[in-house]
Amino acid sequence: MKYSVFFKLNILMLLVYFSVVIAFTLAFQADLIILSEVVNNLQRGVKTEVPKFGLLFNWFCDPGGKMLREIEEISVEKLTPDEILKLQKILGKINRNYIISSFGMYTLGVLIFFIVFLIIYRKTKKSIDKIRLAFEKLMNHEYGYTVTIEKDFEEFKEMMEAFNKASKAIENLNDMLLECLKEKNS
Amino acid sequence: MNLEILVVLVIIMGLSAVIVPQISNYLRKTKALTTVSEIRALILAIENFRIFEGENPKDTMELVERGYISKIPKDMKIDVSDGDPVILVFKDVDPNVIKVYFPSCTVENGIFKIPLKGSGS
Repeated sequence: MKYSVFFKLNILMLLVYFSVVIAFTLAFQADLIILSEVVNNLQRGVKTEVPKFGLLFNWFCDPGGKMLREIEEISVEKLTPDEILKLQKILGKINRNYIISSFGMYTLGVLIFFIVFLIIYRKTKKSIDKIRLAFEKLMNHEYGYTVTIEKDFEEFKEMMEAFNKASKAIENLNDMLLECLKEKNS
Repeated sequence: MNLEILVVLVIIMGLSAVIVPQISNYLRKTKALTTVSEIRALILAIENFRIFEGENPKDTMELVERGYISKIPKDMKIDVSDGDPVILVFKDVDPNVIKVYFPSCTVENGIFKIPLKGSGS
């Protein structure tokens, strides 16, 4: 695979991932605004039905839907101070879960991006090191030295193939010159 | 086509399948929340009218003419035929969200009827 294609794909994946995360967090925020109004209504003694939230809200902000069920159970006309405190606690927990999941999703994106770039960096460095070593060998008169092509990026593969050809050509030229010198001396 | 590109395309398609309903869900909710804030602005204008004029507004335009609101939100009307003003909303919004903010609201043929009395605002 080409390094340039890999780089572009990584950027594209990152953009898609972060747009997904932003969409999720915005959707959660809308749900939280509605939920806090439900809690406000209950505290004022106004009976309110808890609307159905999205599947992802239930996954990330209210795992198992336990807290929403508790709010539904509290839906009575007059609330005791204990129940008001319980409502506040539930809202606080949901808000905390929202912050943790949003932070987790953003961190995961950054981590994946960092790991992929680390892989690219190591792969590129390995290829460059191989080519640098090959040039050093050539400078030390080891003509005909060839670089082993492995899972390198296409750009480096082309460079290594070109180097191998050049190294072979230099070796042939060197052999020819040596033979010429031998013939001249004899 | 490279295998890597294929894998990336599959991942992007999978993510899109998750994200598209989420975005439409989010847009539906924000539309409802916008409508809620418009209704609240209208309720506030009516209440101010009643305080300063001592009577209910005859129609929606009266609120604008007397400067209680700069403009009437789109697809909304005041109905004062029954004495107490009722706000009529002709928008296609999520009724569950509207009912959270206005528990006394009723929906008839897709029209939201929000009585000013006990609107919960």
